[in-house]
Amino acid sequence: MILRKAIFIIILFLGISNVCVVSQEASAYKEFATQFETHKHKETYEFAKKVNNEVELVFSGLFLFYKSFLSSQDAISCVFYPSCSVYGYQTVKKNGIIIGMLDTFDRLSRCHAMSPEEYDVHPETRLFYDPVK
Amino acid sequence: MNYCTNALKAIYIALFSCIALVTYGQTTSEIVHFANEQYKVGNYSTSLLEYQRAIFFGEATTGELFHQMGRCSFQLKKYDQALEYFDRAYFAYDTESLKTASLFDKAKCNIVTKNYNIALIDLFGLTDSLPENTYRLKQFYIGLCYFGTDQFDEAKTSFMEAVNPSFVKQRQSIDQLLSNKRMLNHPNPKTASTMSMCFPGLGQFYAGDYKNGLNSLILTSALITLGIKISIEQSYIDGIFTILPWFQRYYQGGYMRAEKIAMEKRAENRNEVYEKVLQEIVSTKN
Repeated sequence: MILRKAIFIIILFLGISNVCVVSQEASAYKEFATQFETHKHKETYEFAKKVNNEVELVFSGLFLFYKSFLSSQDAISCVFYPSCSVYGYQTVKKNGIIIGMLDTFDRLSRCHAMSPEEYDVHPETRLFYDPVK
Repeated sequence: MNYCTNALKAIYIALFSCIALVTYGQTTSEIVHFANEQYKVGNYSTSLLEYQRAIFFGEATTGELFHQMGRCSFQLKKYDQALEYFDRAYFAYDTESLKTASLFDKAKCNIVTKNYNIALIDLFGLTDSLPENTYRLKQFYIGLCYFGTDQFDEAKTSFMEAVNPSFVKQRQSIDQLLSNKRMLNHPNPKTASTMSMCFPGLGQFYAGDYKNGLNSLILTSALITLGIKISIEQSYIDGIFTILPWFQRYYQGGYMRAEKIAMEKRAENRNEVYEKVLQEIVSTKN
């Protein structure tokens, strides 16, 4: 009787250890499940979707229209990060229409590769880093 | 009074000197044991630090320690460091099976960082006399490298080798999946780009992105229409000078975007195929 119990326990132990070994083997393959996964990065411009008044609504609408239908089809031409359109939107929102528009014109006039000013380079985009001050 | 102070000083000095005789610090094996425990519970940075301590205070550096340090660095996604430790482990080990284990981990590290050709060199450096499970895993790794470098026929052979020949159905399925060249190479980014050069938006349609295709088509058509209108109403020179810079931007942007969309779509298709292949392989392992 004791011998039978012992055999049963040994078989059970071997069975469990075998399952463990097999699942370990499968996990070595599953480690690479995301090896060729693609990561699409789509800008959603959430900051432009929060509006407080009608003026902001108009500017946000224009900005989102430009980003969705015009800028999305454009070849990469802006040398700055954030881009001139995002900069323009942010500065108008922060400094008001008059100062914001002047600031945007200034930014647009500097948006070329031969600008004499020196800028930091944004590590991810490798573009000139010039945020709204 | 002075005598008492001096006597107390002497007693204290004698007492604290004796403490050094009865107490002892952590030994190297205890540090390694602690590091192993930390590795098991997933505290990889602590574990790595402890292994480094063990090497610093230890009398001899061993392959096992370097190997474990490589594994910790791998888990911490410090791949360059991990590669260096696996290399050191390889040269510190003196048995073939341990050398194989470190080379395997090194290849794994190179696969994760998408350095497929270097991983292939590591894998081909492995000994031929491997246990069956390790051999199948090696073939799977080789298949991954070939798949990552767009060599699908070689990848098919290796992925099929990763499955035991008794699993006929799975091997057939892998064969079929990796023989489907249309799924693996469609859409072609160069074709998409050329199509958009010939007719704006066409490349995007070909890649399956109808929204962007329509957007590009409308935008470039509007610019052409405006250019013609200005040319008729004013002069050809006015039309060309007004519209050409805008047209060039959106026309060029259109075909560049078509290429990018096609590349993304093709990568998605390939990932889909790979996931199915992996599913088939894993189904033979449990």
